[in-house]
Amino acid sequence: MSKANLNKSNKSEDVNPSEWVNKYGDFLYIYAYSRVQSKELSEDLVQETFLSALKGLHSFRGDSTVQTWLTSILRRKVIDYYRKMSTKKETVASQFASPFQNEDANEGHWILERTPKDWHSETEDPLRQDEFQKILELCLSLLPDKWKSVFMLKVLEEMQSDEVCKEIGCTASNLWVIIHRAKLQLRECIEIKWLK
Amino acid sequence: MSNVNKIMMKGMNKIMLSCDKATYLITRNEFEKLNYTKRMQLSMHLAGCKYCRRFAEQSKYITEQLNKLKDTRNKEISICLTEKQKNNLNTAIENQIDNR
Repeated sequence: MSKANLNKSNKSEDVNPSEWVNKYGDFLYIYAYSRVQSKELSEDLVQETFLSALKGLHSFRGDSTVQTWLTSILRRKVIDYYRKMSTKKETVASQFASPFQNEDANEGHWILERTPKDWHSETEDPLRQDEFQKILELCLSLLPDKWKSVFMLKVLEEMQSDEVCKEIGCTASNLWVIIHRAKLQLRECIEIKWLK
Repeated sequence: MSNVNKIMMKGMNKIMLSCDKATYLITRNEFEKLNYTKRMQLSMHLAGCKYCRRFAEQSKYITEQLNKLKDTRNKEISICLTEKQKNNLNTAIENQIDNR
């Protein structure tokens, strides 16, 4: 029997919650970790997901697989996490200064010492790509909370701008300015740590 | 500067983007189609600005790597639940079932 058929015929068994941890635990854990980059937090989110799913078990109609259903609950938890993060009062204001000049004549042009360097020798080396992923995680964690939440929801969750604004409470133009600044900081952080 | 030159300069400044604005548009362009004027302004700027061309390339690379990061099939994220974590989760589930 093919895997797809097996899943179909076992649907009622799949809804047995005592099987959830073994069947979907790792998948949900990786899903959470790839979005929040913290093992402890990921475990909490997975636990909350299972508990919410238990409460809402009657609403599961079997239109989707159990995994898809659980993932959609977890996704909502991730969004809630970033929403809360964005409304938290910033303990440290962003230390990131614009890499662009503000003198009249050259306003808005790169400050010479902060212009993007050439990454080619690094991006073409497959050995350095694993390292890139680690640096990317580190640099994401260094973004100010509000920037990070907007960036993660828009770029990672690929949410529509108005959806993100509804969660975070920002205007559309504000949203793009935040993503712009976050991208500038992320790029420079990666460059400093990767090319050193 | 003659008046004609001044007017020309003013006009040029309106057409030519600063690097700040150009990088903003590069990022925005990754998510949604820019209107015709902005696309033209951006390609004119990129034609003459090596640093913003680099930024555009790197920005694309970062986005690709971000997508890799969230790909749950990504083998590089070699993490899974420990037995202890699984036990904790199972206990939490059982407790909730018992309480119903």
